[in-house]
Amino acid sequence: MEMLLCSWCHANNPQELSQCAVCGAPLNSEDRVSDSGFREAPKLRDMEEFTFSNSTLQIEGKYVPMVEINLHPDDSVYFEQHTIMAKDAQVRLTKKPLNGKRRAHGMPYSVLSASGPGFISFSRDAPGELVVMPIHEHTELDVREHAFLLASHTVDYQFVRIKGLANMVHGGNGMYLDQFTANGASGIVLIHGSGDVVQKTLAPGETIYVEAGKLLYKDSSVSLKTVQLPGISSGFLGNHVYVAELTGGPQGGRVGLQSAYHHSASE
Amino acid sequence: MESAPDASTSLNNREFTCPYCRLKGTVTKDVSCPNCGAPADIRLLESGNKWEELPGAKDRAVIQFSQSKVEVQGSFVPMAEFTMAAGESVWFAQHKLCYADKGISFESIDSMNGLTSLNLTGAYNQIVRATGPGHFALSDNVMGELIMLPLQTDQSIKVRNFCFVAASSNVAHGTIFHHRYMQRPKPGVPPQHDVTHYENILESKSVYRQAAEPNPARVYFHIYGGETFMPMGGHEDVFTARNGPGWVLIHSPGNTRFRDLAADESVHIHGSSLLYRDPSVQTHVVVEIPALSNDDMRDRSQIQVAAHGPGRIAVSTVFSPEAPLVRDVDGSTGYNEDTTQILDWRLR
Repeated sequence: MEMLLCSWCHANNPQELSQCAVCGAPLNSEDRVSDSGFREAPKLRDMEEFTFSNSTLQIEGKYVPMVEINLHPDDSVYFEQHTIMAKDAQVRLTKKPLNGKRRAHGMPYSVLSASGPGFISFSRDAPGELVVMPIHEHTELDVREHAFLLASHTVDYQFVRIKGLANMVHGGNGMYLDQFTANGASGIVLIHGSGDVVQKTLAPGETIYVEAGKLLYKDSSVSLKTVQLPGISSGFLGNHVYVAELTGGPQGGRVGLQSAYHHSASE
Repeated sequence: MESAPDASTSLNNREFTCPYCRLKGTVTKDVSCPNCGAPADIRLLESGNKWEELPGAKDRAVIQFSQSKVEVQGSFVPMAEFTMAAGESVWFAQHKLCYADKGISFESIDSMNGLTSLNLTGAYNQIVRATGPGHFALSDNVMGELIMLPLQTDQSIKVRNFCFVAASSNVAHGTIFHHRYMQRPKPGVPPQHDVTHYENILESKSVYRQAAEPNPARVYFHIYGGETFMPMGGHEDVFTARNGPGWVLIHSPGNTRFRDLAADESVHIHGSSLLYRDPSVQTHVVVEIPALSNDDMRDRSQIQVAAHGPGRIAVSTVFSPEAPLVRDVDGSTGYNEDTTQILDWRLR
């Protein structure tokens, strides 16, 4: 049987499908890459459905998209507390243990788990795109703080703080990086990017400079360092511009950028 | 704006004059204008009051300049991705940078006459020259459209502050600092160029009469209340192409509309919605106070900008509010709640 390869998540799909069964990306749209190697994230069709484990996911809306999930009794998802929109009464919420203390918007940061059966929906507050990132076994995806919308229960979660990276963005003490790892079965992470989302696969050793507010996600194989942008210095005190320097690891790695920056106060 | 039937096949490779950038060119293979990237397969839809929609550069439109090019990516907050040839350069506002590869060399430009002043977030607004070879990309932070403004030799364009994204290396920049204080025009003397005025016309056919405040000091107090607010922003950027054609790339928040004013034509607009204008378009400030004004109603007076032709003006649908308009005589209130919310959003 001939199969269609999804250019976004590389899953094989039966030919009769018009969208990927794993990530929802349209299978019949042109995959155009710019000269610098960036491609736009797939535009998920409004109201299209796809599945993870035994549950069904549906993306709704164009400008500030929301996701609605029909959770199977054996499935659960976790999410940041303030992203929940609506749920059936029988969907059970529990607090997910975290690997440290963290605050957001002046309040304690918490991640909740929702267990099926039943419907539950989520959205963030900024115009942008939803990106579906399948996490394969023994791989890790690093996502900027307050960008993930939800992750399936098979994906492990922890966060680290990158001190100093956000200084030029909002005068804070650094930003958090959420780390998603599939140690057992594979799973998915849904990410909300403000504005438009583009992705590039860095070759081994290839380096790009990224304005920190625009960094959305990266493979863990891509190293991240805060550096001064060479050549820029002006003003009485010699103001510098700090950027994130991203370098592909031995196997390279993906980097996702968002075109707009939506500030979320973190402590 | 509607798609014309079968326009993409009939327009491809055809010569046409773009209604948006006013230049002649050959329609590209993705059916866009080669000079500004605007879609070429649309039919102009003019509203009843002569305003037309300006669609901005298409997603994935490519605009060539010298040996370099810029490609538009995205449709919500579009990015401008530059592919720079060796030795060619453009200059841009530092805070619009998205990413760059290591091949691009950057250099601060110190003497950009006002563009190095504080930007919206209070940080220093550095102007940077980027020289190829390599790739880099720029974008704004709010939903909107990228608009390419090609300039003929010695042609100028005036642009709303903070909308500038990038310009070709041969484009010179100047700044018009707007007058913070309102001045009464002298009888028989037309409004001075680029200076805000208080228009004192008692009679009007509208349901509102235009400002008839007998005490200008009081008007000043009510309008400005000691705040550094100017209806058209603190300054306008003026870009002029030197020694050949050039271009300016701007980000228009929201959607954009434009209108070509005849020589004897005027229109009133919200001052901060003005996106760009031909230098031939003159402006001054108009204050309208509701007809049944009393002390309370005067606080709800409307500040507008009168634009006088000839020339083109463009407005965007997202703009800063008339923030410090409401202020009591005792100076106790500066912002109302709604205004503060909008300001917070704009400054993100």
